[in-house]
Parts: sequence; C-alpha cells; structure tokens
Amino acid sequence: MPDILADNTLSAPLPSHACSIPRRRAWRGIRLSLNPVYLAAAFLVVLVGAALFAPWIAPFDPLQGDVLSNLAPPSFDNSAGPPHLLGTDMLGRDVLSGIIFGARISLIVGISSVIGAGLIGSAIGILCGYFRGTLDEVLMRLVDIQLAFPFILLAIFIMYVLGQGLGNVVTVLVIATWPIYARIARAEAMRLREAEYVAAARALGAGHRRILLRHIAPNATPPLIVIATSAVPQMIIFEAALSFLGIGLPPSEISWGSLLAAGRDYLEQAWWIATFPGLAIMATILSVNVLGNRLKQRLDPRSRHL
Amino acid sequence: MIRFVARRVITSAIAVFGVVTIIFVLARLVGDPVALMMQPGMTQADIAALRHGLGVDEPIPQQYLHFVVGAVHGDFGISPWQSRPAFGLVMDRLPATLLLTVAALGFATVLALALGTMAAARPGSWIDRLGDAISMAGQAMPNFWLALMLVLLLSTTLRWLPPAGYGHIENLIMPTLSLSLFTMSRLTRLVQSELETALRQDYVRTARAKGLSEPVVLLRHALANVAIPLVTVLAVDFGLLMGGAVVTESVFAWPGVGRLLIQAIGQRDFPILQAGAFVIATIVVTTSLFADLAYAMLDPKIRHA
Repeated sequence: MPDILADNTLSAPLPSHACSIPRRRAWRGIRLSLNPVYLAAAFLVVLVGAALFAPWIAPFDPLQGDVLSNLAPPSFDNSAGPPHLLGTDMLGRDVLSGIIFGARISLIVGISSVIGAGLIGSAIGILCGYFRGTLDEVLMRLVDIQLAFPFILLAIFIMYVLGQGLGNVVTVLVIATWPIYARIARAEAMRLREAEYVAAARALGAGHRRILLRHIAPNATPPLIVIATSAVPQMIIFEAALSFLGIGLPPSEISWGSLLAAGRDYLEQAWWIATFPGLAIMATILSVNVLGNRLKQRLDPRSRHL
Repeated sequence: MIRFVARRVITSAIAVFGVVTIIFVLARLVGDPVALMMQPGMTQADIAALRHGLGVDEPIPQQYLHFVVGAVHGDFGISPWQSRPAFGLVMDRLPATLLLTVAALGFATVLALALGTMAAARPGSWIDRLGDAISMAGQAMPNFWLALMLVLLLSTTLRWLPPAGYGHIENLIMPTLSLSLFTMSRLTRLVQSELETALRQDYVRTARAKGLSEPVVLLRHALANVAIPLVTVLAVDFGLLMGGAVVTESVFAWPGVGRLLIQAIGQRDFPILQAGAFVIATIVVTTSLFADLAYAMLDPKIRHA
C-alpha cells in the first residue's frame, strides 16, 4: 500500500520522451532520497540519536528556566547567547531542549510498553489457544471485560491508584493493552495446532513444551510483530494524553504530552509551546507507520507476492 | 440464531458485571473519600458518623454486597459531593457525550465514504493521493493536539468560534472535527481497499457488461460490500468514544460522561464511578451486540446460516 505513495511522489512531472538520459538519472536519485521509507528511517535515526545524546545535543537544560526570557518567540538571533530556536515556555524553559529530552520518554514508553504487553499478551494467548478448556474460557471473559470499558479511562483509573511515574505509565499501558495481543496469539495458536507439521511433531513424540516453543510460537510471531509495530505510535499518544491530563509523569520529567499541556494555557500569547511538541509526535508516528507498513508487506506472504 | 443471541447476551452481562466489579475495587484503591471531606474541628465521633453515612465503615465484601443488591434494584447510591443520586448525575451527562459521538462518527462516515469511493473510482488520481495523505496524517495526529491547533486557528487567530463551551452549534464544530479525524482516517482506507477488492470481482464485470453506468456499478454493486466492515469499525469506535473522549472533552470543557468520571476519581466519589462504569459498559456491550445483529441483516450468508 505505501508503495502507492512511494512510487507516485515524483512520477508525474516526467514526460519520458523529453528527458535526456543524465537528467532521468538525476531524477531517479531524487526519487530515491524522497522515498518515504528512507525519509522515515532517517527521521527515526535522528530521533533516536537525539534521545540517546540529549544532554550533549540540547542547547539548554530543559528544566532550568530563565524567567527573564519567558514566552520568547522562536528566533535565530544569537546576539545574546544561543538562540531559542523554538521559543521558550512560561517559565523561560527552552522548547527545543524540552522536545529533545521528551523524545527519551516517548521512545522509552512506546517501546517498553509494547514489548511488555506483547510478550505477556502473546504468551497468555498462545497457551489459551493451544490448551483451550477452562483457562481459555476465563481469558476470553477477561478480554470481554476489558473491551467493554474505554481503555483510556481504565488507564487513568490505574494511574490514580499507582501514582505518577515513568514505570507506572508503562505498567498501566501494559495492563490496558495486553488483550490485543492475547486475542491474536490465541487465534493463531488455535489455527496452528491443527497444522499438519504440528501433528507430525506430536506423532514423533514431541511434548507440549517443544511444540509450543519450536512450532507454534515462531509461526505465530509475524502477525504479532505487525500489530506491535502499529501499537508503538498509539502508546506514544497515550503517554502524551496521560501527561496532558496531568496524571502521567511528575513535573520533574519532561514529555511531549506535558509540553503540550503547558502550551494549552498560553495558546493566545505563545502558539509555539503547544505546536512544536505536537509536530514532533506527528513526525515520529508517521515515520513508524511508514516503516510498519513496509514491514507488514515483508512479513505478510500474501501481499509480498502481489 | 436465537442460541447465538442468547449466548452473546449472557457473555455481555458477565462483561458489564466484571467492569463494574473491577471499578468498584479500583475506586477503593484510589483512596479514602473521608480524608478529603474532613474539616478542621471535627471530632472522632463526627468522622465515624461521616464514614457511616458514606457506607465506607463496613468491610469491603459487605460494601460490595450492598452495592450489588442496590444496583440490581437500580439504586447506585448518592454522590456524597453533589448529594444527588449518582445514576441520575451520569445520565444527565449522557446527552452531551452521545451528541458529540454521533456528530463525530457521522461526519467521519460521510466524508470517508465520499473520499474513499472517489479514490477507489480513480486509482492514482489526486483524490486518491489526498485520501492516502488524510489517512496517514489522521493516524499520526493526537486528537488533543489537533484540538489545540483548531483552537489556535479558529478561535485565537480568526476568532470565528468560541474556544470552549456547550449548548450552541458553534461549540460542537471543533470537538467534532478533532474527534472524527482518527475514525475518518481508518474508514477512508477501509472503504477504499474494500471497494478496490470489490471492483475486481466477476459480478462487477457482469454489471459493467450489462451496460450499467459506472456510478450504478460503484454505488449499487460495489459499495454494498463495504457495509459490514464499516459497521464493525463504527461499533468499536462508538464504544471507545463513550467516556473515552475525555481528553477532547477536557480541551473544550465539554460536559460529557468522561469528564464527570475523571472528576469523580479525583474526589473519590464511589457512587458516580460505579454508576458511570455500569452505564458505559452497558452501552459498549449493547452496541457490539447490535453490530453482530446488523451483520446478520446485512449479509444474507449469515442470515440463512
């Protein structure tokens, strides 16, 4: 699907008969570098780099405000020290530095909650789908219960119980999203346990443990990876939403959501505080989605042969 | 069919019961409401009386028993802060939530059908690319950020719309736009891909060979295939927006159920939390039950099975 995007980006302005060969080659170079997959990968590399080396890259301390320069608009003017490229907030804290440090939180939350929920949910789902029985019945009722209540409200509830904090945000997201993986893993395990090679393994005397680990788990993995990739952006958005509501991270931690929340009360005076963190979220999610779509094509044999 | 429906009704009831039970327990883990209500100069006896009045002096299993017996009789208790029946307080907020949800999903459906159909009719055209761009952007944009950007553009800059509030048609526009984007982006992609599959089928070739005009082929023969997946997505999103629109509600000061519940968590208002959980879960499971019944009506293969 993203190939529609990829191939059409620059194909239109090219009347082939009018092009000399070197010019066509130049176009191809530009087309290649404007391929969304490469752009997305490049953006994510920059983002991960910025997150890893935040203390060295960020021009200012994201928590240390300078009240004299509060609500300063974005500027390139470096006559009075390093400029606030994306402006400052109401306490005079640099927005760009906040975004760079916020990238750490977003990436940590996005990746670790998906890994946690993915592993727990898949393990439960595979066991239930393979063994069926009472355990399976109980699981399906639990999944029903979680699906009957909006996931963000449940997350907010648990945040109030656990209190603010990075670890708690991840825990909440794991609790709120494991059923997604459990349902898919269960369906895959139910399908795979009827497969001929599983019957063959059983006939050769393989135990449950071996069948589950060597035959079912590896074959159930591709669809789970596709779901997990598309869940990373959602987790980033949910962390931002929790922090936006003021119940995600404590004020001593900077996240894109808390920056957005800070900008909300100053929309009239300082549009930049709320705008740039949102753009950062959007660019990150777009990149993950573009790469995720490509991954999906690679892992799904049906679309690979199309 | 009857057996299927009966089974679905029973599992739905179990799910509602489960949600309410979990919220009952979580509410008590949040904290003790009495701690928030104490005033300086209260004696030990006053506090004990307050505790007794709230019913939180009993052991938790007994509180639960009382709650279940009350709930079965339609009595969810009285909100200690607002001194009114909790169920009524939740129902008072329901119209605002339903209005916003129906507006957002309706807008998303109409636009997605139009955009998706036009995109599928002319693959590779500008409208096809516009559809792609909207669905990519819509899935990447947090709706509360979109909400802030709309306020920035339409209220603070252009001064066309009030930034927040409830009661007038102008108040509905921005919350609807920001909530509908995610659903719209999913639906556009869905309509487009279902239509493209349908247009490759033999019966479409037959319809064209009969000499039917392209709009008739597209709208009468191909579009019918979109109905079932469309109903599925709409049912799921309807459930998610019941109380799940809290962040948008908080940006626009929209008096919905979600915001009532968030406020009730902060105040440890147990009756509102339990009544709210019951109402939301009931709506969600009923919606998905109706979606299942809708499949049977829309799909003759299921109907006759």
